[in-house]
Amino acid sequence: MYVMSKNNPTADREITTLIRRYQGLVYSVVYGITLDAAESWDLTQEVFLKACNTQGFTDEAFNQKAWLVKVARNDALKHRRSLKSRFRYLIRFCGFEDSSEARELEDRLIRREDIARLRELLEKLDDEGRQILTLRFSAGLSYQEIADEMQVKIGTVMSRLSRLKESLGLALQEEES
Amino acid sequence: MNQDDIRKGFQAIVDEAGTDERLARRITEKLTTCEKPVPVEALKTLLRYFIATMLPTALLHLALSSISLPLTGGVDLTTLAEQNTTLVWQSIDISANASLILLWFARGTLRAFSILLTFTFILAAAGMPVCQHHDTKGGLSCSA
Repeated sequence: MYVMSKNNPTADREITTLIRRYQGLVYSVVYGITLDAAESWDLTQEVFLKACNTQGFTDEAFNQKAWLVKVARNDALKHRRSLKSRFRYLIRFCGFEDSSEARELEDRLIRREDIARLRELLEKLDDEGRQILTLRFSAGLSYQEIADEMQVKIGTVMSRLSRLKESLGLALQEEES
Repeated sequence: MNQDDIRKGFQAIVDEAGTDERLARRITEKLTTCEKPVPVEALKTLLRYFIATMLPTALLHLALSSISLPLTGGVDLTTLAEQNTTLVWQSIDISANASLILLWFARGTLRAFSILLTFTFILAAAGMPVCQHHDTKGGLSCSA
C-alpha cells in the first residue's frame, strides 16, 4: 500500500502532479457513466489509490491516461451494477451519509448550462450509450480504441452511434478525428 | 445537441472537477492517511444518526403501546384474540372503531420504520468504502 510521506518528496510531487492533471478526466468519465456526483467523488479517489498501487504507474513509458480511463470506466460500471451502490444511494437520500463536498461540486456542475444539457442527454441513454459518448467525448478515444476498450467490434460502436443519432437527434459526425 | 455541445459539456465537467481543490486534497489525504482500513469516523456518525432516529421511534412506539382503548360491550380483546382471532372480528365491530384502527396503523408503521431503519443501518455500514490493500499487485514504483 502506497502511503505518501515526507521520505520521498520527488515521488510525492509526481503523484500530486498526476492527480492535478487527471482528476478532472477521471471524474468526468465516472460521472458520465454513473451521473452520480457523490459516487464520482468517491470513485475518483479510489481510482487514484489503485493507480498508486500499480507497478510503474509513474514511469514515463506508462500510459497513465489510458490506464486511468480504463479503471475509471470499469469502476463506474461496477458501481452501476452493484447492489451496494443502490443502498448507498438510499442512505444518502435519507440524509445519513454526509457528502457535502461532493454536493458542492455537483452544485457547480448543475449551474452550468452545458453540463445540465449533457446530463439530460446522458440520462436518456443506457450504460452502453453513456460509455461510448463518455469515452469518445470525455476521454477523446477513437472509435477503434472505444471498441477495444469495450471489447466489441468497431462496427458495433459505429452502429450504436448511428442509433443514438436517430433516436436522440444527435448531430454526430461519422468521421474519425 | 451536436457533438461540439457534448464535447463542451464533458470539457466543462473536466474543468470543474479538475480544478476542485477539495477533491485533490481528499485524494492526497487518502494516500497520506489511508492506514486505517475501517472508516471509524463515518461509522460513528452513522451510529449517531441511527440512535438519534431510533430512540424517538422506540419511545413513541412504547407510548402508543401503553394506550388501551375501551371497547364496547366490555370485551377483553387480548383474551379474545388468544382464544380465536376470527372471533375478535366477529364479536365486535373493530373496523368501525376508527381510533383503534388508527392506533394499530400507527404502531404498525412505527414497527415497519424501525425494521427498515435497522436494515438500512446494517447495509449502510456494510456498504461503506474501506481502504483496500493491494499487496498482491506487487508494488509501487510510485513509492519510495
